[in-house]
Amino acid sequence: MKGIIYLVMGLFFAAFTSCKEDLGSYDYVDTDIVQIDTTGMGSTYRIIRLSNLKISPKIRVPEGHNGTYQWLLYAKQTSNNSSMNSKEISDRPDLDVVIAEPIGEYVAELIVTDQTTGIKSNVTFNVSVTANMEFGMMILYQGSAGGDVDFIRTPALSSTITEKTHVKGLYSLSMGKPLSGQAKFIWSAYQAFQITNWITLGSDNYLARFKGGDFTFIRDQEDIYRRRETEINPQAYVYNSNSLHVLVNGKKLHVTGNGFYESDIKFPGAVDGNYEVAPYLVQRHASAFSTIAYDQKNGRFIRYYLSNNSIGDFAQPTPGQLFSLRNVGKDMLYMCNGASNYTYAFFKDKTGNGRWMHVIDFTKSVDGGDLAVGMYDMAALPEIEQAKYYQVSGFGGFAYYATRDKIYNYAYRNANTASVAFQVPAGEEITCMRFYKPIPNIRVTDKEERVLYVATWNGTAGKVYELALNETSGVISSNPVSTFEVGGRVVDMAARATN
Amino acid sequence: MKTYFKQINAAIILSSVIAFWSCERDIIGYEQDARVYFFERANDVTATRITQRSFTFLTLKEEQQKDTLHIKVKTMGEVSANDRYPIAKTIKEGTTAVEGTDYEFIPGLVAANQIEGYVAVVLHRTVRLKQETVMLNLTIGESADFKGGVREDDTFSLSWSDRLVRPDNWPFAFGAYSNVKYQFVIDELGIADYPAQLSPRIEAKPGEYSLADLTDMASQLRIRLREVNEQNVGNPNYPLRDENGVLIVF
Repeated sequence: MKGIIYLVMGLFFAAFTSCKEDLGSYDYVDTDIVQIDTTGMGSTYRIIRLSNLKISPKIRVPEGHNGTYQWLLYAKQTSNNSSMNSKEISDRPDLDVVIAEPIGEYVAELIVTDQTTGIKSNVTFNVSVTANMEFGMMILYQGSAGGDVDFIRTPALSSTITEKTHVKGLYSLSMGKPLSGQAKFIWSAYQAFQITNWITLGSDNYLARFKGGDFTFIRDQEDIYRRRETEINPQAYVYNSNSLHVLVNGKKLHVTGNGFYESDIKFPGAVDGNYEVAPYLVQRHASAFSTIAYDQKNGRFIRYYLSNNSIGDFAQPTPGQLFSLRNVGKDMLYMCNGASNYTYAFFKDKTGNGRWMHVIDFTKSVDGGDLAVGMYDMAALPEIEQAKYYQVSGFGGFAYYATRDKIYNYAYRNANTASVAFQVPAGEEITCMRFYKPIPNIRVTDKEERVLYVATWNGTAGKVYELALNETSGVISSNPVSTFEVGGRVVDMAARATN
Repeated sequence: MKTYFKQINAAIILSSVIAFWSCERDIIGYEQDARVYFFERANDVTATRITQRSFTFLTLKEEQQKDTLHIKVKTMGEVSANDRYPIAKTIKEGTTAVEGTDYEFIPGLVAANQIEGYVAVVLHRTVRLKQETVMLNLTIGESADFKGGVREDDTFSLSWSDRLVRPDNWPFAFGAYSNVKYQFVIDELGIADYPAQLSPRIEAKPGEYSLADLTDMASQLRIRLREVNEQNVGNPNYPLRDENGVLIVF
């Protein structure tokens, strides 16, 4: 018994005597360390994805020492199970890099190493990456290395925008290389309470879909066509008011319905039939006409039937109709929606110099042979034979046509005359013209069609002018509201909007 | 005195527990023979187990008299630096195919440093397949490299034929079934089976079809049928009719 007691006491004694204060007998020397001063800088940075993150802390490296710098970026830990893979984004003392990470919360960490002592100092900053692509204008251009996309936002586009921003090279930043082929079109497809929120762009040998929220790549090429043997030659695309994705590829229509999952929204084989469509599509028309297009080969408008993936003619015109949709007999130059949601189609005669604007009411739910609304002879308008680009107002009875260097305001409804509305600076050539016409327009009805974007090219540099205008008269302010320099010749522009 | 002893005992037991707690037993590794089990899984969210597969010779040219089917397997045990060769064997119960006549087993492969591979069955295009569908139930055989593994995954069934039998997954988009229509589809698309994409949340594998895929196929077949009918104007049974004399449409 006593032995056990002694054993227990011995264990306690051993346990307590093993704790002995280390008094030490060292010589302490003060070592100068790197100091990183973030006074007044704030600890959180909010940036738009694919824009530059700039952080410049004051760094004091001890005199006579050299420092090396390492900026790391990693996702902010949100749970104990999160893994954090860091990525070195810069080796400069001042950070100034494009952030291409998906939308989310991140930490940027600066580590400064004193090369003389090996001692490291660090500081962290919270980085909130947002997209902020609710409203804006997408600019597709052809640069020397290939195509690319810029995104511009100005107070003229939404009351929620307080300052002008210009994010450059969205495509190459997302994909790591410029767009191949000759850039053709860009379009933002958005539908509330549905999955559709995508940006689709195409060149003559490439088609791709990106997330509308932040321009993250989704799919491209064979993955976006249901038949992999399809020769990829996209020419035009629209997401129309019937929730159909309509593509003109190799002069043929490819139409796909909407679905519950993005992965199943791919373009099927070409619509059957003897036709070659012009590369122009409209967004708005009645659901009765799943899609409408113009058959350039046979000089007629055609309608699409979703039920059996085929096309058909419109009805024979009733007496008194200005023209027959089944036999227009002209070459289409452009087509878009305008006032009353009518479709406005610009034509030239197959022979001679005739120029025309036809107006069709495709919003009627029944094709009773009475869809032709107007036909305007444009032959006498100034420089009409040099017209290259067209836009039609949704508010007033006017349209614009642009020649090499001038924009004409065409008052078709009253006088059928046109006058110069704007002239670009000498040496610049107009390459694209678009209203700010967002779809949906719910939160920007006060901004819609109040500005016109005009792109120019002077042989070496591209520009985009933001022009203010009177939405009922079409009068354009002589001085641009904003001017943006872009990295190539602009081929298409499209409004980006959500609701 | 009793209480005193109890306290001492408790102190000793507690010390012992603490002492032994620190001795952590090493985790024992897999020490059995290398084994494999069938690892065919569906392309859905839960990767559902697949235990059977059917095959038809109809999509192959007449001169091709046999074809090799690979069934995916997964290994148990350490990976090997060398290629290894699993093999399947017949389960007699329920099997109607005759080994050596209708089929034969050849070694499959688990490549070096891999944990997945396949067993192989060579299917023969025998005359009887024109009249009937044969069935083979198989399991993992013992080879120099592997024995059979997980019990739940140790059987698999194959059925095959060389005749037109309405597939269970005949697409609604193709309309009413007939043997003539089925043969037309096989001739034009080279596809005899139409498994549905199980979950649109997961990208379809080759050989899986969504409703939109099948609708597009129907559209393709409609065009081809029109062309074939135009090419055969005046020939017997054209425009194409089925075995009951009904006009084929898509």
